[in-house]
Amino acid sequence: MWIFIVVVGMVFVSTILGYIVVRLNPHMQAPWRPSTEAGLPHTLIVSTIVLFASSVTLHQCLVRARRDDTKGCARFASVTYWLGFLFVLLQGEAWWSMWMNNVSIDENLYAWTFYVLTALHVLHIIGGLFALGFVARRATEGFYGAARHNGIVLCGMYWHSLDVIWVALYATLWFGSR
Amino acid sequence: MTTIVSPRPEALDTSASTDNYLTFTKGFRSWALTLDHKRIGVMYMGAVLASFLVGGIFALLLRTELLTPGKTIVSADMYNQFFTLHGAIMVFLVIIPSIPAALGNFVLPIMLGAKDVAFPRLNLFSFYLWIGGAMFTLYSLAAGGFDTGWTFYTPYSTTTTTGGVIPVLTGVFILGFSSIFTGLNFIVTVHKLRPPGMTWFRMPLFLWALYATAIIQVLATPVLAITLCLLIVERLLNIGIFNPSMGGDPVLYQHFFWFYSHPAVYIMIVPAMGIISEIISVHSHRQIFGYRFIAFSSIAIAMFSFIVWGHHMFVSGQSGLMNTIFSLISFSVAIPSAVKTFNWTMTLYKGTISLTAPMMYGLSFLFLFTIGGLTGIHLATLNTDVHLHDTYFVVAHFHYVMMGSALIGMIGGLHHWWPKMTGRMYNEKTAIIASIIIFVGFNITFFTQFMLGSQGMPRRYYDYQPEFQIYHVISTIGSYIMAFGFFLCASCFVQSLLGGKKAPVNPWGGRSLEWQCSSPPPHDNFSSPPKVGNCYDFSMLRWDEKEQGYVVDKELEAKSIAAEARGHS
Repeated sequence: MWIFIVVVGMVFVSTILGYIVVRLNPHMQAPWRPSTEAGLPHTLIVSTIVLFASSVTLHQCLVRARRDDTKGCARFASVTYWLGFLFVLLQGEAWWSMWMNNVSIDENLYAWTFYVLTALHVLHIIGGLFALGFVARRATEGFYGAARHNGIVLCGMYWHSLDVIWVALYATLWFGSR
Repeated sequence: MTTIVSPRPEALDTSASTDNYLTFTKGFRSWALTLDHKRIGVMYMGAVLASFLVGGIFALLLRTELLTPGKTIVSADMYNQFFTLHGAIMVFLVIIPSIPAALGNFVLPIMLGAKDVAFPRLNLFSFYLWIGGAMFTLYSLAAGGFDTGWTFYTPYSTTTTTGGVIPVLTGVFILGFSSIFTGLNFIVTVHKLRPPGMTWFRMPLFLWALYATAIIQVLATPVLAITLCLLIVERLLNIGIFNPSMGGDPVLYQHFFWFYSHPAVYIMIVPAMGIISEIISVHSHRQIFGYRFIAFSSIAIAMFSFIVWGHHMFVSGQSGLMNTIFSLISFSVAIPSAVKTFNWTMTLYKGTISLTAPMMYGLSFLFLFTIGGLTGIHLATLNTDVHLHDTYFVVAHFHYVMMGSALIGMIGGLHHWWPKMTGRMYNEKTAIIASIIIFVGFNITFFTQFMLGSQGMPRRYYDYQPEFQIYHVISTIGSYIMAFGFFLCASCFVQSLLGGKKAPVNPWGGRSLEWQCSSPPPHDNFSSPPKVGNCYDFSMLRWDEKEQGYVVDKELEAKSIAAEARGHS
């Protein structure tokens, strides 16, 4: 699993590096973000909080499983799943608001990087939702307990790392849009 | 003779049972849905060899076109597409998967003493990903082909009018996933599935090489994946971070691309080096010289591979300081490579060399890799590189490394493990003749190109000055000779499949674990955990006429164990 996280990490590290390179390009004529265009949508702040919350609930789910609290484990697993789902919806809303402000993807690099980078992250989140859904279903079946919760651990490693990646990505975009 | 000859107990077990992986279950479904690493390896091998044929045909067409200046057989646009296809197919479909995915899949678990790889389903999945990637690449031909060169440099790749660029990028993207999953699988297998007694330093060197390769695959390929992804989006929308007119940076693409593709060169060569370590030691029946040095030099090469990518970009306008640093680091790659070469030579020295077909390829490798490696130094030197950059010198250099070393290593490995894979021997004499023809043809083809390049003939050109023609003609004749050699080699394999002699358990006198199970191996490799010893101690083996292969001599084994015990006390 660690190897897999490193693989995903490499993807995002290289993307962020690429972003920094073009952002700091000294030969650039036009400003990075034309003043007529909207900054990053505020929805992103909400979605960040939601993603954090989902990490907390997923950890709670693991804690309950270790205590052999099958019901609590199932409850937190499904809460995590829906929070993840909400995150995807919020990102969609962020896209929508950018679009409504007439920032379309083929406008300039500022728009292009915003859409491409967030899309890349959301795709990984959606991948994680499949795993979370699987875990949540098993949890409701009472599959996990003190003796058996490896599935939650592995799923959690992936989910938390996406959390960290999102923070790095958001910070990059935020500093980039200044 | 009073010695009682008896094979190892494990060998007795398996030869007594009639089960073998090829006939264990029958029918198309049993192959298409198999989880057996050996079958997956064999299917990869078939697919890779088919791609090799296609890529080779393009190479011959190119060489034929270059016989005369101006048009010989195809138009300039067709020529551009041909060399792009030749490069893309040979790199992404042939050399990268050839050793790790095809031979590695077959050999790694058996050598390790495991029943299968750690994730058999993932293994099958990566095979189908490979097929999917290959399909996309084929589809790109139907969609209008592509003429970007295998490197897909921007901004040309985002602006060319040929229609097959997006399909082929998608194809390579998918192939990358296949490669990542194979690497992941191998790392976990080596860590988790070693049987009792198989310590890290008892692993055959091929496994060390595959392990080093897997590290590169896992760390470098994601960067290629994201780069190609960005390129696809960029081409679709005509805007993106590689587009200079919008403030993007086309050189950034080169950095990303070579951050993957330089390590990819080592994905190709390091496993070939592993194969050569096996072949040289087994066929000269001598303990490998400097085991630990070879093992660690594989890891060292893997590490170095990540910090030398800039030497592909000496003339791209990066700063002088960066050029100097990359040049220095590139020189230092020579150290682990030379460590290996000297150790192989020392293994040969005073060994009992059998000039078998695999050994012929092993010796070819040593020769060709030395040339390929040493000419690399010319290219890593800044001032000579400015002259030689983008000339045929570069073409000749990387063909010596990628083809003369990586591919020859893979063909050598195929000859080495062929009896184990198919249970049949091939006609040794024909195979040796084929190897000599390939060796001669290869040198005629590519050594000429060193001269072409140093005199200034640029690579990828359709037309050229008349004074270059004589070299082009010689090079083309060489490529025909080489093609004949490969066809002879292929006919030798076909003949072996149709009516080859039955292979013994141990035809070459190897000591690693795959030579303990029957040829072909049973479906679950080992019925009981195999006995692990020093896999390079050949002192206890002797040729058995009745078996037509090597067997363990009880008396010699006892002697060797006693000697080892004395050594320890």
